Amino acid sequence: MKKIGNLRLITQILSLVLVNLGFISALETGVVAPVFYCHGCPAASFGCPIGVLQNFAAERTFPYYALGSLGLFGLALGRLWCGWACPFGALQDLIMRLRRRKDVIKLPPFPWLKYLSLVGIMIAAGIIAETAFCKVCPSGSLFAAIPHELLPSESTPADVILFQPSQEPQIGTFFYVHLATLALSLVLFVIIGRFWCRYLCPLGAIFGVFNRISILKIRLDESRCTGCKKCLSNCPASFKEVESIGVSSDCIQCGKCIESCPTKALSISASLRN
Amino acid sequence: MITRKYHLPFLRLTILILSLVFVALTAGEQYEMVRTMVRFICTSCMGLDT
Repeated sequence: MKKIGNLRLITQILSLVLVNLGFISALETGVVAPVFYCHGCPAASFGCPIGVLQNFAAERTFPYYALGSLGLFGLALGRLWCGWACPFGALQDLIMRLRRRKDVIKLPPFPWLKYLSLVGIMIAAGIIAETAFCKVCPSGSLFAAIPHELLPSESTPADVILFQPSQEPQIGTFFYVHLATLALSLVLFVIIGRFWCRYLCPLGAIFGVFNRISILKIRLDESRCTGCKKCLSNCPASFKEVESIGVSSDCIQCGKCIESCPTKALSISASLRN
Repeated sequence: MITRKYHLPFLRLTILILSLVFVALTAGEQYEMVRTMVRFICTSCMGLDT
């Protein structure tokens, strides 16, 4: 039953297309994306939630709009966004598809680490009044720094307003820092499944809180569960208990457990009651 | 007292209302601020020196 895996691939591709419609000027929106994607990308059509939150922290303005948007997105789907729509998650899935599963290192979960990452990023932005994390963000490296260098250098109207010709921004030290963080991340993605999502993603920390209360998520029908634990064999989050599926802040709701379940005890369903 | 049976729906409703209020109150001004972030180049994201 690989139906879920194929469906997820389609939604990930659709999401990647959707967040890159900004090459059409009218589609450069002020909507906060529910995925970890850099709005520094030349074709970005949505705002990166972590970049936006940092900008507001740096300006000492309470981010009502961004938090409200993330609240609505989280309430609806929780970390389904991570498993089904995030381009950075899709990259990690792609790398895992190219690997043999048995080579993957299974590390125990450290759910608090991503919360530490989120708090640290926001405090840093508030203290130094700058988007500090963006300077090292591996997503920014992949979707903004590298494309910006590869694409023909044509000044956009925004560039013209921001910089005089003599002041046009040049590649700086942080470009190479970007390349280093991306290279390190890619190595970690190869040896540890969904490393970023499980341990460091600040957006995953936000949506992780919503996993317990989101309307659409993976639910367990206890009357059908035989306790065989086959669902845990392919879990990218390395859960040890069936009860963690769908509700733990580490669960990216990818649905691999649903594919493995012989009794169809697990399913993605919407409910307002539980 | 809110029993366990009702606490999840109640929590969902609270978050829904709070989120909608947050978005509705600031959508105009802060939406434009985010739009500006998307439209202008981000030198931090690109590793550029200005």
